[in-house]
Amino acid sequence: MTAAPGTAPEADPKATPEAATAPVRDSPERPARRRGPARQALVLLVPGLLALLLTYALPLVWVVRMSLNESGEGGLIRQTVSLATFGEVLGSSHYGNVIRQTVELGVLVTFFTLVVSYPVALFLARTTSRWRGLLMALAIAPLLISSVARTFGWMAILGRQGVVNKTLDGLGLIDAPLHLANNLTGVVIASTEIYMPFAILAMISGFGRLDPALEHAAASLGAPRRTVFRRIVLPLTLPGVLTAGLLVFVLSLSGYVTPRLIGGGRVFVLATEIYDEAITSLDWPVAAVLSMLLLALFGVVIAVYLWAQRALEARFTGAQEARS
Amino acid sequence: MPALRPALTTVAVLTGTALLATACSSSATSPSGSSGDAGGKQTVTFMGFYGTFQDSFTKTVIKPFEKANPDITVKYVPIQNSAEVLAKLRASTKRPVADVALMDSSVAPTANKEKLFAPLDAAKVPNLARLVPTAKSKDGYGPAVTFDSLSILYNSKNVKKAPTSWNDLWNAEYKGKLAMPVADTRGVALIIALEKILGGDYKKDIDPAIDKLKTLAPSVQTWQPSPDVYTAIQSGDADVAVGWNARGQFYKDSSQGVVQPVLPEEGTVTQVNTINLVNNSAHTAAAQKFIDYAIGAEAQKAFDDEAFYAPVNEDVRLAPETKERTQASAEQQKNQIPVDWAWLTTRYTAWVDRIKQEVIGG
Repeated sequence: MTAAPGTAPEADPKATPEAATAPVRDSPERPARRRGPARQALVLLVPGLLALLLTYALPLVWVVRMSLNESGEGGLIRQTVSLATFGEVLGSSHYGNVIRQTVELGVLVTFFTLVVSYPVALFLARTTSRWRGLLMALAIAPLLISSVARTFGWMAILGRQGVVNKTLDGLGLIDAPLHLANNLTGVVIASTEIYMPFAILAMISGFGRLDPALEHAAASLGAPRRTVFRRIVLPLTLPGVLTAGLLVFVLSLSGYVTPRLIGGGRVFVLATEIYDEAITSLDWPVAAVLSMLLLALFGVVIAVYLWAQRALEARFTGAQEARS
Repeated sequence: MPALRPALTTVAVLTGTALLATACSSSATSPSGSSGDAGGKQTVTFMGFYGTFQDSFTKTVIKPFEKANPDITVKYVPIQNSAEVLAKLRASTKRPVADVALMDSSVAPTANKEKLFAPLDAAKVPNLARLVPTAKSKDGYGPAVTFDSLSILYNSKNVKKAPTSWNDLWNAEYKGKLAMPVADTRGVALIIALEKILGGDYKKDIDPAIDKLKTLAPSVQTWQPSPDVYTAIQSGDADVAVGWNARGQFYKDSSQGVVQPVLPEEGTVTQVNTINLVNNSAHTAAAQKFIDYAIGAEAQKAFDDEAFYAPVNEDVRLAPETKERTQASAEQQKNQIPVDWAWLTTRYTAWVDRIKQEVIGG
């Protein structure tokens, strides 16, 4: 992950079969051969780069350009180069609230997703059952259904006449339906379930350091189960939790479908606001500025993640050095 | 690092290729059969609203038109709303992706100003002369093709006392059961209706309407019913709502009367869809022929009887039972609240922002 794409193959030229089977070549070709692996890597990168350029870089340039325009009356766009629209958005208390609510939703959803996914991931990572494959498939099976359909499912469960309210009402526990949908509560509940498979997958792949032998060793030295978890399991699984947290947080920051469908129009987040500005209010410059702000937010999140990851790594290597 | 220079070259080549590819793609998405106006079979690409609107319009306007003009085929491109049309036309000004497009009259003036639409040739669209005065366009651009109005919708199974007035939205019986999708044109229309009830002038000051709507906020269950307000009323997720009359009438029939649209006694606001000739269209003659047919008496009557819009052509006589259910009813015509949509275009964004920030978010 840290190695630059162009340098990795050069470190080991023997990695290519050509280098291993045809060691002798004419001298004029030698400089080209030396660069061969790098060039090969580039060729391999071409489809991806091309796709990224077309679908990401070019539209992004267009969005950056649009964010420097100003909006006129009735959706007209005044072509100019100014930061006026940025000023307008950053100076508005409404968009301040939108950004706050976006981050708030991200934190809530990430917290709940990690809490409910962690036990599942831990079980799946440690189990030796022959059903492990099936259980793994079940854990990520929800991904087969679109999040639109799953959100509608949650609306049927949480709505005014939904399963939860009907049941509670039938048991005589409530007088009036609980407000579980069409607000932030509904969005958090639905999003948590929708992002769980991502979190579980990310955690399992990040639990590589977890070794049952360490747990047995701790237990054999008399550590109670709680201490084993706190001192051994939790620290060793933290990198996986961190990656899952990043993934869920980023997905939730950019999430559109769930806040839109189950938020009842009350949950203003950046993604829904960008859509509204572009499609309802026809204010493209503001939509572009909000997109840039969302991008900046991603930048901050990824910087925090890298810092946290490095801090964790330092703790691990520090602990190992202290031991040796 | 020796790999850097070839890397840069490759990136440069890729950029060039990508630019070329995008240049080509704009021609790839232009309407099919671009054979110009000179003879042969032609295809007119038409952008209209999706869903039941598309079904009704295809059945009552496009099919008969194609039958009467065997040399012209109409391709229907369904769109979500007028903003989507605007976006698609902005992205394809030289070789537009449509020849004819529907657009709400609150957005159309912007498209006209940006020269995305072209003025019509009155000689090629003789039915322009047969339009009712409110359907005519002042500047020669696309005329109205449908009239609709804002209604109150309710679920007849759950609601005991049916609403008859805009004030009934504040009725205690409906508290917590309202669906109010007002962060768009519906909210703008509702503000105008409330201003009339409150004795204000929407061109001067909409504070009274905004303040009144704020008092409704605690009773609202959802500001954004999913998938739309008509199905929310039909399923009983919400009991009372505001919505467009034509779609409400359509759902009234399809739900066997569970969904009931009411045109409130104080009168309501007309929503206008215009039909427009796209600038730089390769088929201006065929396109205008199609526009002429769509605003003609035959198509208007067939479409309105099917979809409950009110006719724009003065020669149309709707069946009385249909007419009563549209914006054209005697009752509605008497209580019509006039709206200057061209003026509203300049306030639209500001109003929607106020609804979102002060009424919903407040």
